[in-house]
Order: sequence, then C-alpha cells, then structure tokens
Amino acid sequence: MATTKKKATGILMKRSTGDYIFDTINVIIMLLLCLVTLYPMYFVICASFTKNTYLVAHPGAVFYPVGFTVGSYKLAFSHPLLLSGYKNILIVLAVSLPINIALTLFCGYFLASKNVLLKKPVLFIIMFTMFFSGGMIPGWLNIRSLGLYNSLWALILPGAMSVYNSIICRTAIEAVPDSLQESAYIDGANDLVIVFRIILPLIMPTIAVLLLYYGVGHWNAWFNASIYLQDNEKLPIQNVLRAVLIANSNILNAAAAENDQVNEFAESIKYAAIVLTTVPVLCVYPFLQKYFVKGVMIGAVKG
Amino acid sequence: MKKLLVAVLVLCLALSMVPAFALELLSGGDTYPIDTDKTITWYAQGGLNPHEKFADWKESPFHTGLIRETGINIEWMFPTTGTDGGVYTNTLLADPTKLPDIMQGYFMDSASQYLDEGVIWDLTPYMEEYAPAYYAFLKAHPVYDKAMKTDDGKYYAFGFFREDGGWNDSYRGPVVRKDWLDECGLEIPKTISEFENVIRVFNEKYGAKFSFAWSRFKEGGLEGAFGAYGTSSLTYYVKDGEVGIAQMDEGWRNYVAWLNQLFNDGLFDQDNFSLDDTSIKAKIHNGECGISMTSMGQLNNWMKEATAAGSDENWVAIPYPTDDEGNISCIFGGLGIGTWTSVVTKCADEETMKLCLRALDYAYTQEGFLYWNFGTKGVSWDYDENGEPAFTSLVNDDPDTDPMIKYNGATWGSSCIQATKLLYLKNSQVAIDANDLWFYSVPAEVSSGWKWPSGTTFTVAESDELALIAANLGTYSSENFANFVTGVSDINDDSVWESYLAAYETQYNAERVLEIRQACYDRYLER
Amino acid sequence: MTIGMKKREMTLSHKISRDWKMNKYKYLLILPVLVYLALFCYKPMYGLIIAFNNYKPTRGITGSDYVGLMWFDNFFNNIYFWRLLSNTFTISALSIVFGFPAPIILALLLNEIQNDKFKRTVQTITYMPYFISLVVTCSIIKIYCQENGLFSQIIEIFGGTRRNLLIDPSAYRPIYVLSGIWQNIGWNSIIYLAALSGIDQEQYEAARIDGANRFQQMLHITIPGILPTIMILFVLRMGSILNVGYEKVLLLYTENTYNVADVFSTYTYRVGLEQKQYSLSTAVSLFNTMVNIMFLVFTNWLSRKTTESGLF
Repeated sequence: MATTKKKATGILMKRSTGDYIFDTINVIIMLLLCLVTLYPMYFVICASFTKNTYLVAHPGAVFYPVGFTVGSYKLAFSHPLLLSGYKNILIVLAVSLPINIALTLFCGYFLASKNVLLKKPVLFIIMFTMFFSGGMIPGWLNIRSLGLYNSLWALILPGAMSVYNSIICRTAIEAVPDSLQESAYIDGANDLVIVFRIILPLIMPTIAVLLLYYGVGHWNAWFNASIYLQDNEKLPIQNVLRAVLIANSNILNAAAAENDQVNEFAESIKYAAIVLTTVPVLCVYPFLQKYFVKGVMIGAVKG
Repeated sequence: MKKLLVAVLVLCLALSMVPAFALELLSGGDTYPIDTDKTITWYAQGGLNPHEKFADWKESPFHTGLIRETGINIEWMFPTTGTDGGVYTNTLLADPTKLPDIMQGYFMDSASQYLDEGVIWDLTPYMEEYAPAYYAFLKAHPVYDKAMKTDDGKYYAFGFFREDGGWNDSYRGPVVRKDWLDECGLEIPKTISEFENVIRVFNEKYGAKFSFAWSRFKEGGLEGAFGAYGTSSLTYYVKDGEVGIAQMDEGWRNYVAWLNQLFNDGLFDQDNFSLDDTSIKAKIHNGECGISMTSMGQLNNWMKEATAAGSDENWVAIPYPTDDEGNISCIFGGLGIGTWTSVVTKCADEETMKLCLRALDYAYTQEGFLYWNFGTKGVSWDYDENGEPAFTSLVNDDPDTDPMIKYNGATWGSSCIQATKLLYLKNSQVAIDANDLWFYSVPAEVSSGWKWPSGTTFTVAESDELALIAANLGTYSSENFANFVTGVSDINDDSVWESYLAAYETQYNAERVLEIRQACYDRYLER
Repeated sequence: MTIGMKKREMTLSHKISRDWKMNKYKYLLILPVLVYLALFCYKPMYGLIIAFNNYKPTRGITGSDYVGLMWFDNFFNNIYFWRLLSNTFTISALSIVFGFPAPIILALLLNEIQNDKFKRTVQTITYMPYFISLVVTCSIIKIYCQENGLFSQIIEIFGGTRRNLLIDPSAYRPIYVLSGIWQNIGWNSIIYLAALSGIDQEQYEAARIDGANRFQQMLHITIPGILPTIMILFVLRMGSILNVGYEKVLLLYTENTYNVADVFSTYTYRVGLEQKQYSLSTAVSLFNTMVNIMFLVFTNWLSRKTTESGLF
C-alpha cells in the first residue's frame, strides 16, 4: 500500500491548452486560498503592534502596524500567569506525549496483529469508547474520586489515548511487511522487541504526525483545566489566553458592578496574547511537515 | 449546697459573657485574633478574587491579612482565572461530599432546597453566640434581617450590604458628552424626545451612534420613560403588590419599538449585540458614541483615560429621561442587599462551622469593617485630619487599575458592609456627582420600589416545578427582545405582538410561574 | 454427544493456551490501554444512570430516585426540541456537505501542481489555521463581523450596506461553516495527500498511453484510489453527525441568532452547567449519542453496500 513511486511530474509530457488553462486556474485558486488564510494571521500580528484607538476605528482592516507600539506586549508579559502558563503546558506536553505515543502504539500494534483470540472483543471495547462517554459531570466526579483534582495529571490522563489516532497507527503498522515480523519471531524476538526495534523505526513518519496531533490537542485544550484545577499557578497557557480574550464577560456574569476593570490596552493586548500563544506551536510544525505526506493513512478496522 | 454553688458559678459565668459580647460590638472584637490551629476553606465565586496582578491569593495582602487579623487559617479558593464563575460553582456543587467550608455565590433562590438536602448548615441556633456582630447588625436592620433568612425564619447566610442603604444602588445611568452638547448648542435632555434628539444631532454632526456601554441590555436602561420595568433579560417586578413580567407589558412594547426605530434609522450601534464590554467600551473614546448608559465606576475610568490620552471629551451624567409629561416608572436600582451570600456547607463539622461563623462575623465588627473596606491601618490607610479613613500613597500612587482591591475586600457580593466612604475614595467627583444625580432625581419607588426583593426563597416543591416549567422563559424573552429591536419580528404589528404574548401563556407557562412567584413574594412579605 | 462436547471444550482450552503462549506479550501491551479505558472511559459511564433518575448530588448517582424515561419525555416535549434537533442537524449537514469535500478537493488540486516548492508552500500555509485555538478564531470572526468590520467594508465595496453580520440570522450558518472550512481544510487534506501518494504511478502512465486527459485520470484513477480513505472518514464523520461542539456556538451566537444557532450541546451546557439540571442534560447527551450511533451503523452499511469499503 505504501509503495511510493517517483511522481509523474518529472516525466515529460505534451501539455495541451486545456492543461495550461487548468494549471493557471489552479494556481490562482491556491494563491487566493493562501491569501484568505494568511491575512487574518497577518492582521493579528500587525494589530498586536498597533495603537488601541486605531484598532477600534478600523476593526479588521489593518495592513501594517499603525503607530507602532510594543505596549500591549509589555502588558501581556506583566500578566502574572503567563510564565507559569507556559511552564505548565510544557510539563503537560513532556509527560503526556510519551504516554500518548506509547498507548497509541500498543493499541495500534494489537489491532494490527493477526491470529489473536481476543482481538474482536478488545476491538469492540476500544471502539465503543469512541462514541459513548459518561458525560461532563460523571467525568468530573471520576477525576475527584481518583484523587486527580487540582493536579496536572487531571490534564494528562483523561485523554491519554485517542481511538482515532490508534486506528491511524494501526493502518501504518499493517503496511509494514509481515515478513519482517516473522523473521524477527524466528530469531527469537518477542512482541516487545518487535514493537520497539522494528515497528517503531519503520513508522516514524506516522509517529511524527501523531505527536503533532496530540501536541496541538494538548496545547489548545482548556475546558478540563478550567474545571479540574483549583490553583491559578497550575493553569496552562490556553486558559490564560481565554482570561485575556473573554475575561470581561466573566466580570459581567459576576455583576461586579462598581469594579469594572477595563484598561487602555484592552483591544491590542488581545492580539498580543494571541500571538504569544499561537506562535510557539506554529514554530514546531515545519520541522514535522516533511513526514506528513507519508504519515497518515487510515484503513478499515476489521476484527 | 454544692448545687447552689454550681448554679451561682454558672450564673456568674453567664453574666460575664453578656458584657463581653456587648463590649465586642462597641469596641470591635477583642476576641480577634482567635487562637486556633484549625484550617477552614473559603470559596468565593466572585468579587473577592485577588487583584489581577497577583497570580495567587498568597501574594494578596487582603487575603493573607485576613488570616492574620482573625487568627484563623484560611485556605482561599476561587474559580480559576478565565473560567465562568457560575459554572465553576456548579461543578463544585455536583460533589457535595467535598465542598469548601464556606461558599460564596448565589444561593438565595434555592436556600430551602440546600437546607433540606443537607448541603448547607442551618445557622439559626449558632448565630447569636458565634456571629454576634452580624446578628446584632441584622437585628438593628429589620429589612436586612428579613432578606437573610428563609420564609420559616432560618438563618443560612452572610450577606452584602451597603452602609448607606440605597445611595450606591443606582450606580448606573445615562451620560452624555458635554463638550459635544455645548458645541451643538443643546440643553441637557430631560425627556425621552429630547434624548432622542441628542442622538440624532450627534449622528448628523459626528456620525456617532447610541450605544449601551455597559453590560449590553442586561440591566435597566431607559425603559422607565416608557412605563416599562425591564429590557432584554427576563425581569420580574412588583407593582402594588402584584408580581409581573416586564416583557409582557405595553410599556415594554413601546420601549422596544423605540429602540427598533433607532435601529432602523441607523442610530443604534448594532455591535451592542455581539461584542463584549471591553470592545464596546473602546468606542467611547473614539468619537463613535456621544450619549450612552454607563456605571459610576466606568465613568470614573473613562474620564481618567480621557485625561491620560489628552482628549478633550467630557462625559457627564444626566438624569434618567422621563416621558414628555415628566413621568418615569423605574430606573436601575436595588435594595442595598447583594444577591450573593456566603453559606457554611455541611462538609464543615460542627466545630469548623462555628469557626467559620467567627471568620465571617469579623467583617461585621467595627474593626473588621475597617479592615474589609480599607485594609490594614498604617499600611494601606490611615485617618486623615478630619478623622476619616483615607488611603495612603501605597494605594494612591499605584498605577494599576483599582489598586485598593489589593488591600480590601468590600466589593459587591462579598459578605461585608461596604463603606460609603470607600466609594467616595474610589471615585472621582464626576462619578460621585453622577451617582448623586441618578439616585436623588427620583423617588424611592422608582429607584428600587418596583424591584423583586433580594432574599426570597422558593420551597423545595416550587424549585422543582420551576426547573421543569420555567427553564425556557428567559431564553424566550431575550431572544424576542433582540428580534424586535433588529426588526426580524415586527413589534408594531399587532398580530405579532398578540401571538408573542399568547406564547407566554400557552407555551412558557407564564401564568403558573407568576403564581409561584406571587406566593413566594407574599411569603416574603409575611416574614 | 458428551464426547463431542468434550472434544470441543478441549479444543477451546487448547486454543486458549496456545493463544496465550503465542500472544501473551500482545496482551501485555494492550493491558495499559485497557486499564486506561476502564478508568477514564468506562468508569464514568455508569454516570449515565442519572439520565434515568432524579439526580440529587447529596444522594449520589445510585441513591437518587428512579424516574424512568421522565427526562427524555420532558425533553421531547420541550418547546425547543424540534428547533434544537433541526439546528443541530442543519449545521452538521452543511458542515458535511461543504466541509467534507473541501479538503478532498484541495488535495486533488494540490496533487495537480507541478512545482514542488509552490506545492509545499501552499500546504504549509493552509495547515496553519488548524493550530489556532477556537477562542482566537472566534475573536477574529467577531472583529471582522462588526458593523464597521472588514466584511462590512467588503460588502460596501460591492454595493451593500454595512451591518453587523453576527446578528443576522441568515448569515450565522455560512459564517459557522466557512470558518470551519478555513480552519480545517489544510489539515484535513493531509490524510488524503497521504492516500494519494500511495497510488501506483504505473496506472497513470498506462492511462496516459491510452490517451486519458488529466480530468479523466483524476476521475478514473485518483478518486478510486483514495475512495477507501474517503469512505472511512465519511463513516466516522457521520458517526458524529449530531456533535456540534458547544464552544464555537457559545462564542459566536447572540440572542438574535438563537433561532438558527442553538444546538444540543449548547442546550446541554446551559441546563447542565448553568442550571444544574444534571439529569436532564445527561439524558440529552445520551439521546445525542444514540442518534449518532444509528447514523454511524447505517452509513457504514450503506458504504459497504455501495463502495465495498467502510470503517468496520
């Protein structure tokens, strides 16, 4: 399945007028798509350096930093939870990702294996959780009864494995030629050795993509942290971002009438916060991008 | 003989207790700090959060200071930053086995239910002994006393009160840019027609629009000029002892029709519906709005910001507009009682509960009153030459927003008595004048007399029934308000209005809901 | 008869011991996965009981009174039931109709680009929005949709009048669906690009020799080549047909658009977390799940029948 041949692009072909028209239109579409994708991001970056008053007058249409200022960044960095937010998410990532990858790999390997008696029931047990869950409140009670409340483990363990990702992993493992495993068996290797020594190196592209899937998931998650944690210093960066972006609606809820805390950088600090929380994750993925094309395959799950 | 001796001893002891408490009321609690090694957990949903510059309460002078002052080890708890406070409280309440000892939040409506289910302590038998200052305060103010107990007279909560009753309850009202007004040669608008005229002139001349700069339409606005009692969110009001729904009145219809007209004429800022408060507020300094509704604290900030930016905009308060005959039905107001209270949960054993009462009671002692309002004497405040409390340079020279919050706790909803002096210290003269103008320009029945009272409690059966039948009522009114204003439904069309009204009865059980509310209100009166 | 039974039992136990001998390490590997599922997926599932009782936190999940289907009954008779159902279904269906093919089309178009560098650049750029969190996306949308926002300015250029798009009920769904596509199109195309790279290139050469043009090649080689991937993802997508996440809706809807925007998940959030009606909210999510599973099984069956590929 994963036999990749040299792409057809290099082969000299006579191109018809139709081809030219198609290619031109195609390129235009792609360029438009890039523009639509890039502009909002470019806008956010410009806006983060722009004066508040200009932003209010020109919502959404900023083409260069007007009245260049770094005031909003100064303000964002003075947020008492920003650094602890970065620290916490890094801890979560450092602990989660190995667990995520290990469980996904084990699950994928088991599902890809043949001639296992209990595969069907296990498959059912796993797939069932993809569609059924106990819901928010029982999940919360569970976290409390397991003693994970107000601990970073509450952000790490509940999403330790995604079934969807293990299906992707299983598809990748199935693409590894059986002969490799068989000869390893004959050499006396057990499954543990096979998983780590043979399978893992061969499906590295998929692992890279899964790392990114899980990583982005953790980076952008906020809801669990908002109800499973109690101490502000344990909050990950995304919750700090939310506080900056929509905190004033909480003040509204609290009806904290005479203390409406609103400050002069109210608008531009939002953009600075967006830049500060989005840039790190954008920086990582170009390094993993080369794996993408080979990394994700998905196939039917047969018992 | 022995018996007699014991009796005399007991009597002596009892007698010695009485002056001790009386003394405490006067001198402000010699009993603090209390000598105890117990720790209590204290959760506050809002109002008491540490200042935004602190990562944690351990950095906050007020929160650590209260431990020092009371001698009780308090483990503070708040909703995490950026989390909806109500949702956080509700998730906590989902597990009644592990609640904090003290919980501050909205408990009034369902107090009977919480007492019945054993979630919170019935404090009645303990109040006099363990919260003497609070008890004395309630006894001295029957109106407050009435609000702080259930229909059958059980005490369950510590409330928020204002020292001067209603003065700061009407802290919201209309404001106008005086500089523009003068430039256009206009008078301060008194009636709603004059008010509308200002909107129109400002729009012609400056391209500005009318905008509610605070809390969108959530609370009272200009509806009083139309004889209405509410705006967008479902409002129960009381008139001549009868409970009604504001959104079903003819006056409300007129008010909304007026807004709809402004909307159609392009005079109403559409972003009021979709943007949050900071974004709406940003327009204020931008010449996009010249007449608006705001709060005392906001006005204070606006003017500070305008001065800092070197802008010559000059916002001043104006009286609530009346109809052309000078009538007005209501303004934004209240009863000087916060709807948020602090309760003691059953997760605290009896001893802990008593300690919680002592901790809460501190705020109502003379000494605690000063601490809650101004912080530590000699640090954040001291007496000025007139013998009145004044903040020190530690607070006055602090560039952060609302720096006093670092040292005090007397904000709306915390369980304490808010000093009028504090409000004077916090706000500039413009803002104080604004509050005076809004509050004193109307009689009490207009500012607060029409309000559904704070502290009513539903019975368990009523709560259960309301949960089933009234859940959609709020959605229905706010949704229709929005649709009427934008013209999605035509409020001027009688058949549309009729069917809107009819749906309240046929689909949203308004009749039954009002019946329950009326009973609840009547019970409240009989307390 | 008894002998036959014995024989079968023997083979069964034999089978088990043989399986254990051969696969014990496989079972060892899957054990942590099962422990995880048991603790964090199956254990909270008993909480679904509260959909069938009148849950009072003080009395616990098992101690509350059994009320049968009362909450379901209550929900089906709710005035908003049909509105919620049709909104959820419409938004989801629109997301599928427009959002599902979009990454496929992007992958196909990208596949036709000859210049590798350009292709990689386009890919890099289109993936980016996926990394932005929802709250940020929605903040940008709110800014662009203001009365004087970017969209209004564009509308004005084309002769329309400025207005706040978020309070316009007819604009809500396009905004929701298009922003979803904007955010996910690049990322979702990855899996199709991967599938495309797996197609045997000799097929193209053979087709070219037969004189097939590029459109014909796409139709007869490329699309059939990635069809199994498409179908599996389609089945999975249909399995979440009623899952319209509450977060984006909560951030984007206003009183003006409740009528077209309110969905099951926002309702669950409101009654569950804001009004503390834990039982009702659980009943609603359970109903949601059941409908999803029906769609999943049905789509899988249909897919197996028509294209011979499916999830299981």
